Amino acid sequence: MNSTPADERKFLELVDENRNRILRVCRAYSWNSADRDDLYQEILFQIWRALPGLKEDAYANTWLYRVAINTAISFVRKRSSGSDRVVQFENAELTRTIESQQAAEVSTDERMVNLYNAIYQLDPLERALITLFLEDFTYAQIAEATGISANHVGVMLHRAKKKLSGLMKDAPK
Amino acid sequence: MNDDELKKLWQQQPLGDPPLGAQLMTAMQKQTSQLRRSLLWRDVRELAACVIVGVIFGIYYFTVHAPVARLGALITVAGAIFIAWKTLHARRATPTAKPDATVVESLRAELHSVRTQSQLLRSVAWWYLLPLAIGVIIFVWGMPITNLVFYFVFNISFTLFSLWLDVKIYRLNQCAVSEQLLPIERQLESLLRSAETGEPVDETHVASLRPIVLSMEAADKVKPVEFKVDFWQLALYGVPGIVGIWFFLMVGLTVGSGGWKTKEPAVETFPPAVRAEETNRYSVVAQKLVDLLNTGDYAAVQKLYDANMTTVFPPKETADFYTRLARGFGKIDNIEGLTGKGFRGWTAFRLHCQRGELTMSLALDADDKIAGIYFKPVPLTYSEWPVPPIEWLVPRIFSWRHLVWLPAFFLAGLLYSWLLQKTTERAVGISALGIHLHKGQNLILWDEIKEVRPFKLLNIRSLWLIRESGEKTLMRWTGLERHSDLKTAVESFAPADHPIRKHLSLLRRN
Repeated sequence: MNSTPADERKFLELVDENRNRILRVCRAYSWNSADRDDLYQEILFQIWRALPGLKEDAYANTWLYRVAINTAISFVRKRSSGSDRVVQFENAELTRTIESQQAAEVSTDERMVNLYNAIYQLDPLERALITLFLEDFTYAQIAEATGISANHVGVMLHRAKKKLSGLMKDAPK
Repeated sequence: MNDDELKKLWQQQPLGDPPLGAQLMTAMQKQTSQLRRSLLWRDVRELAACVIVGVIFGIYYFTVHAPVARLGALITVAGAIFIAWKTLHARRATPTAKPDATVVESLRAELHSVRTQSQLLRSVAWWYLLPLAIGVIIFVWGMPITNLVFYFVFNISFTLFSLWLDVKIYRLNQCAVSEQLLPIERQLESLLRSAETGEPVDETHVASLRPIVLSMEAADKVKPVEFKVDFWQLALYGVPGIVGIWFFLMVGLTVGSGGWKTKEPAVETFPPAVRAEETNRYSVVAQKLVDLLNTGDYAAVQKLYDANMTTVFPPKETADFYTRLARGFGKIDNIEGLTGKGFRGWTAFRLHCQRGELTMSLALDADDKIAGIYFKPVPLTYSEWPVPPIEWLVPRIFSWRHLVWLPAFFLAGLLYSWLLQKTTERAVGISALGIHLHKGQNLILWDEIKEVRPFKLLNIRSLWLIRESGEKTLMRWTGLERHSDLKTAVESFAPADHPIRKHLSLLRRN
C-alpha cells in the first residue's frame, strides 16, 4: 500500500491504543519469546495492510481482534505444518515439562502460569473464543470477530470455559 | 477462580514494551516492500523454468529441419506455455482471504487453496509431466543421427530415463499430497465444521496445532547442536566446478574457432577422383565453381549461369549470397562427387568446408551453363566431429588471452561457495533430547532408538536408527558435515550406554 501521513498516524494510534490486547493475543498463540515477537510483527503488518478496509472507527476494536486472531491462527498452522523448524512431541512427561517451561517464560505468577498452561492445551478456535472472552467481548462481538454464529459462540465458549477450568484444576501445584 | 477474576488476571498481566513510532513505521514499510518483492520473485521463479524451456525448444523449432523433431519442439513449447498458464491460473483462482476477514472466511479460503493445490499435485502427470515428456521424447527420436546404433541406444536410454524420472516426480507429488496436504485439509475441514456447526473439533486432526510443538530455539535445555558446513569443504567442490566451466568454455572457443583446420593445406586435399573425371561435364563445372568461390570471384561465377539464372540471380544477389555462405562455412577444402541425386533430382556434390559440410545440387543446360543450384548444410554425425591435434590444442587453451579470465572464474567459485555456505542448513541436530532430523521436523528421542546399524555407500557414512517397532530412519552424515563436531555432540549428549556410541569410529576427523 502507498501510505499517507494520515494513514501512518491512524495506524500508530490504533496500535498504541491496543498494544496490550495484541500482546495478549500473541502470548496465547505463541510458545516462546522469539515466536511471540514474530507473531507481534506479523499481526501489526496485517493490520497495516488491512487498514484501508477499516471504514468506521467505532468498529476498530472488533476489526483489530479479527485481524489479530486470524493472523495468529494462520501463524500456528504454518508453524505446525512443518514450514518452520519445529518439533512435535508425543512423550507425555516431556510435553508437560515443556508446557510448564513455556508458561513460566510468560509469567512468574503461578495463577498466570496455570492459565497459560491451560490455554496452550486448547485448539485454535477455543483459544480464540477464550481470548476474546477474557478481553470482555460479548457473544455478539465474538460472533462478529470470528464469523461464528452467536448461538454457536455460546455453545462453544461454554465448552471451552469448562475445559479451561478443568485443565487449571488439574494443573500440578 | 470465577469469570471476573479470570478476566482481571488476564487483563492485568504485565507485558513488555515493543517499539512504536518511526521505528515501527520503518518496519512496516520494509515488510511491505519485502512482500511485494517475494510475490514478484515467486512469479518469476515459477515462470523462469517455463520461459527457458520455451525459448530453447523455440530455437530448435526454427533451426532444426527434421519435421518430427520440429513437432516435438513445438509440443514442448506448447507444454511449457500451458504449464505456466495452469500454475498462474490456479493461484489467481485461489486468492488468500483479506487480513480482516473473519476466522470462518479465512479458514474457507485456506481450505479452498489447499484443495486446489492437492488437485494440482494429484493431476500433475496430465498437465505437467506428460506434455513435456511427450514433446521432448518426440524431439529426441526425430533428430537425424546417421549412426543407427548410437541413435537407438541413446534414444532408448533417454526415453527410459525420462519415464523413470517422471514416475519418480509423480510419486513424490502424491507423497506430498498424502503426507502434507491431506492432513492440512482435514485439519481445516475439522476447524471449519466446528466453527459452522458449533460441534467440538476432531482432536485427531488438530492435535498438532496445540503449542506442544516446540521451536528448536525454544529452551536452552533442548537446543540442539547444529552443524555448519566449513567454507573450504564447499569451496573444494565449488571452485573446481566454476573453474571447470572456464576450462570447457575455453576448449569450446578454441575448437569452435576452427583455427586448427586453417593450417591444413586446402588445394592438395582435392580427391583425385574428381580430377580424373574431367570428361564429366558436371564435375568440370562444379570444380570450376568451387575454385571461383574460394577465390571470391563472384563476377566470374555469374558468367557460369544461364540466362534464366542470371535474371533470377543478378550479380548483387549472387555476391551477397556467396559472401554469406563463405562467412558461415569458410573456404571449401574439398569437393566430393558425384554423390547421387540432390535437390529436385539434380546432380549432387558434397562440399567439405572449413566449418561444416554442404550438399550442392547442380542443374546444367545443354551448353553446360548452370540452370539451377541449391546448397544444403549436412548435419554432422558424432563420428565425424572434428578432433584437433592435442599439441595444437593445449597451448591455445592455456593462452594468455584465456588465462586472463581464470582469476575471475576462481573468485566466482569462491563467491559461489560462500553463498552456498550462507544458505546451507544442515539437516541433523543433536541435543539432550535426541537426534533432530529433516531440518528439525522429526525428533527421535534417545530412548526410542533401540538399535543402530551403520550404512556406508562410497564415502558417505550414515546410520540406521531403529526403533523398538522396527521402524528405521536414516541419519545422514554427508561428506560435508564436520564429523569432529558430530562426534563431540554425540559424546556430550547421548546417554552413556547408548548404542550409537559404538559407531563413533565412523566419524573420521576431517
